[in-house]
Amino acid sequence: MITLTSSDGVQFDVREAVAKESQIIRDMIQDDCVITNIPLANVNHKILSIVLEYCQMHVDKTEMEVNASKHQTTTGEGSSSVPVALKVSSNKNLNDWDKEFINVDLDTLYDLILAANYLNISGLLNLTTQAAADIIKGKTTEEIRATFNIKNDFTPEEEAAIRKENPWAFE
Amino acid sequence: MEYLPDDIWHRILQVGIQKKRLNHVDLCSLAVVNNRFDQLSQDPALWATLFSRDFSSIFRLSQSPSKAVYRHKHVVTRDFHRLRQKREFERRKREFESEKFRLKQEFQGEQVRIHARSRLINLARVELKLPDVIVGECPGINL
Repeated sequence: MITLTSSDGVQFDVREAVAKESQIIRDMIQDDCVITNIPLANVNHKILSIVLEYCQMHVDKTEMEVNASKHQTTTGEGSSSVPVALKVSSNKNLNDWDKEFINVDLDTLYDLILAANYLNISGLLNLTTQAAADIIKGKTTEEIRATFNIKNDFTPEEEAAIRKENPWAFE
Repeated sequence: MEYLPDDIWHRILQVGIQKKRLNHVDLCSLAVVNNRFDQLSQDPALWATLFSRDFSSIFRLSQSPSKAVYRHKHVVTRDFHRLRQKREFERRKREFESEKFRLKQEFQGEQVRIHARSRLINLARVELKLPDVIVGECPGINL
C-alpha cells in the first residue's frame, strides 16, 4: 500500500498498482523502492479522489482481463470463446464507464486536466482533453466565449480584420 | 478553462483534430475568440495534422502546411469542385435541351400524322357513310 497526501492534507491509502497509473509516481517508486508516502502538492482531496477512482477502475479492468486470458490459456481450447467475449464486453463497459465518468462540470474538468497533466496519467489526460475538444466542437466564436467565460480583448477594428481573415472556413 | 497553460490547450486542439472532433471551422471560430486563441489556433502543427487528414497525400508540398497553406488548398479544392459541378450542370442542361428539341419534333410529326389520318377517316365517313360509333372509337378525330 502507498499513501498519497493531497495538497489540503487528506491521506489516501491505495494499492501500488493503482498509484502507478501515474507516470510521475511510477518514476518515484522506481527511484526509491522504500517510498510509502507521497505528498501531491498540486492536487486537492476532491480532485485526487476522482483521479484515484479512475485509476482504480482501470487497474481493476486490466487485472480482470489478464486473469481472463490466464484462464483461457490454462483451460485449453474448449472454453476459449468465453474469455474473449468477456474481454470485448469489459472493453465496451470501460468505454461506457469513461463516458459517464467524464460527464462533469467545467470547473471539475479543468482541475482534472491539470491533475492528469501533473500526475502524467496518459489515459486520463486523453479522456479529459478529448472532453474539452468536444465542448468546443461546432460552437461559434460567441458560444465559445460564453461557455469558457473568455474576454474578447480585440479592438473592434482588430476583430473586424480577424473575421475577414477567417470567413473562408464559414462557407 | 481559459487559464489552462498553452501546452495543454495545444494538446486539447491536437487531440480534438486527431480524433476528428475538431475541424478547420472550429479552429477559425477559435481564432476570433481573442488574441491568445488566435495565436494558439495558428500553430502550424495543428494545420499540418488537419492537412494530412483532409487532403489526399498525393499532393506534394514545397512548404510545410500552415494555416495559409491549408487555406489556399481549401480554396483551390472548393473552386475545383464548384467548377466541376458547374460543368456537370451545363452538360446536363445541354442534354436536356437536345432531348426537349427531339421530343418537340417527334410531337409535331405525330400531330401531322394524326391530322392526315383524321382527314382520311372523315373522307371515308362521308364517302362510305361509316356509322358514328366507329368514328367515336378513333382517337384524334376532330369532326
